[in-house]
Amino acid sequence: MKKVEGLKMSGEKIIINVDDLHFRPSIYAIIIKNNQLLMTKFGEYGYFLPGGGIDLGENHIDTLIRELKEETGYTVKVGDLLDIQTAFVKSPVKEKYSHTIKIFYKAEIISENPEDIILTESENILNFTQEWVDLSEVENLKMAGDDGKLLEIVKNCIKK
Amino acid sequence: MNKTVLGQDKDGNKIEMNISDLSWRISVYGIVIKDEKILMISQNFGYSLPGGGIDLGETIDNAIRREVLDETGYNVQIKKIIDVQTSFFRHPSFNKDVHAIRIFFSCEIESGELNENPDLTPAEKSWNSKPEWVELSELENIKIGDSADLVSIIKKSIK
Repeated sequence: MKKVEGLKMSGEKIIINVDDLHFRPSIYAIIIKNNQLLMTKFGEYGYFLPGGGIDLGENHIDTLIRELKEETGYTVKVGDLLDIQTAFVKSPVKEKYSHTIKIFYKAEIISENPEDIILTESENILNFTQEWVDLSEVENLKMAGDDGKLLEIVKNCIKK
Repeated sequence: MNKTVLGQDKDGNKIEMNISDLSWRISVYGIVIKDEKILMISQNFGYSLPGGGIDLGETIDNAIRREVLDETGYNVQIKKIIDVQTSFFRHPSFNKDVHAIRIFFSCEIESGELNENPDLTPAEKSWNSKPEWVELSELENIKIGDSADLVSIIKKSIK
């Protein structure tokens, strides 16, 4: 059986059978305001960017707008495409293995409605919160389920 | 929540698709430009870019190298991401409705030469697929056989 090296959300490396993998395309936003980056935090697992999985039948740009609304209450305007990243990861809450395709776009906030926030069951289990982080602090943070590429993408975006 | 979505077949006919029947297809395409020419695939129904679906467990880098090599004979390396498009279509080889996430990269050639007898799937053979260098100045005049606006995507890579 064909195997690939993957990782757990904690960052620990694991070997995954290719037959167990499913595609999980997802999309995330880099939103910078007053020299701070909007980040989401999965309890002890660490930080990531706001965004999430694309549903079948949904245009990826609509996903980003929906996810931002549900996770943060912000209505956003999606800007430039920044980067893409793939990984093979084990779900932190289920016995499920994903071939993730993470797409990163720049976005800006148009309006704020905290009553739009609706968290999923997984997000509640993982003690999901959002936080504005000073750009100078971003590289000291622990990222969730990431192999180092996320920081590179954020840094490249700040440079632009 | 919608139960159906509008997609198309390879001839561009609109089809209503049940979302519950959709499966993922993640595909990657290379934009290779050299000496004012772009590397394209000529098929019965028009021109498209070299590329294709990522296999489960395969990296993007590997998928694009494999697809471009099989279809054109060139070994390429990714330079930059250019665009991502969502598209719903009936896959002509498997007659299956797919939700495609199509990722376009600008690439540069490392080695190889144009292979007029590329390594093709049976469907690609039946469409007489073959690689061809197309003059950039001709881009607006050729028939594009693709649901995406390839001309705009290619232009974005030149900027």
